[in-house]
Amino acid sequence: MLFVLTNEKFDEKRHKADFLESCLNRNGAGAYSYFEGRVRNSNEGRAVKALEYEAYSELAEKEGTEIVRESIAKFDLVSAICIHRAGYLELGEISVWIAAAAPHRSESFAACRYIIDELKKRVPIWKREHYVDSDPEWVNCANRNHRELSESEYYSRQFVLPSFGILGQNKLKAAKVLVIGAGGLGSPALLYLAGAGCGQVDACDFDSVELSNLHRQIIYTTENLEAPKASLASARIRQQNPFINSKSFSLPNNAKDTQVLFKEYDVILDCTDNMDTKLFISDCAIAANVALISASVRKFEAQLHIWMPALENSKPGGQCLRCLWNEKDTLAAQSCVDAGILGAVTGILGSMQALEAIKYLVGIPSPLANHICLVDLLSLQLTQIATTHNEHCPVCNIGSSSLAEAKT
Amino acid sequence: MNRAIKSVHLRYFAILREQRGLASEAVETNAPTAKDLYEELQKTHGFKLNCNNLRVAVNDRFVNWSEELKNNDTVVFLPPVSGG
Repeated sequence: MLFVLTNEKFDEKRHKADFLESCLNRNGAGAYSYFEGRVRNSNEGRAVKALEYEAYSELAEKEGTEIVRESIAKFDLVSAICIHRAGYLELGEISVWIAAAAPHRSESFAACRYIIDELKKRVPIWKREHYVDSDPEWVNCANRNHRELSESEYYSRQFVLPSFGILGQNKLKAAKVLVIGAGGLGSPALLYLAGAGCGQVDACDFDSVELSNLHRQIIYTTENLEAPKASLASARIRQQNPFINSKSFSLPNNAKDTQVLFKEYDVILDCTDNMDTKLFISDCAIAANVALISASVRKFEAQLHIWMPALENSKPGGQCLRCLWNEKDTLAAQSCVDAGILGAVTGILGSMQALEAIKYLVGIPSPLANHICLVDLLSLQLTQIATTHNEHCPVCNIGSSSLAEAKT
Repeated sequence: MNRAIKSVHLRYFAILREQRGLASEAVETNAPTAKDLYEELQKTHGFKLNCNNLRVAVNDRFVNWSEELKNNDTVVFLPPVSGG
């Protein structure tokens, strides 16, 4: 038995003896870790007198067993077990007991942690707290219901801003934004776009979280290592703001499908870190007639660009990223891996991208239209440089989509 | 979409059980998916939790909200869990 759900009071001696008995290769285990959860006398400032657990036992046993089995495989354990109480428990009683035996201590500790964390997320067991001075409540679901979330309260601090109000908020709610690259720039951009109340904020990224990402990619934690970024980011921002929608996917690998995708959005944020992808995104955004806000960061410096919809901008005399750069510049552009980067720098630029998007969606004019902004965070200087039409630019001169089509 | 009438066995836990006032019941429904069924029940019983706060299990197995329902399925809508 890997997982036991029981109404019986916990018998420490017996369970520990049984566990030792179950370790067939006892001499191979140099470390035994035990975790016990007990009923505490208070929660969130309220005096608790008892707990009650209700379980969907068929599925709880299945899911609990699966978690313990996963921990054995993941941490190469000699043995593990989890015992969970159901029914009514007095203060101080053991509610959950986990034991893990492994060759080394780091695995046995980690396994206990893994089992309790997964259990709390996945196993259908519900806790009802009995309070000293009020009626019992279901923890988690009860609290969520207890406090009905108010959308107007959520946005109350930005309502009062000039140019915002209910009209501005409604424009944001109707807006669809696509953030490409859920990394150093994308992390703050996604969080702030969601917080501001953009109705649909979608995330594109094909990478998984690596340890070397975490110093700047603040949307993730060490618990997310090796998991795919886009879906994590999307889930995280839905938690940040329950009044928005978000989905995640990978960018199509051809221009035609990418243009079709871009047409569904009001603004695209280019939060990627290499020139080839940036040019591809720019070409597709011009062809799809959608606004593009792009940032590139190198050490303490950065460039921020806004390209307005192609209708205004890519007709003769218009401008795009390719007016400035082409694939040859790829060689000169170093990515974060080579040049080095600080989290605060991508944090500022990603926040600026989010802010420019919000201004654009709400209708606050930006001085950056047809300008690029050079940001030097060592000297704290912002420099705006007017961009001009490049008569040799293949995108702006040949017509919007021909180059992008030629690339497929 | 299977809009045929089917008989589905429902079980309720924790706050949903209290809001419904029942631990289980059998319902006749033409809801094609688990999500449609929950939304239908939400209207009838005024459940406060929305689909995105819940998970769903059919025949004791977690499934996606788009899971198509069949005659005699046992369906459970699971509020956020809080074991441990």
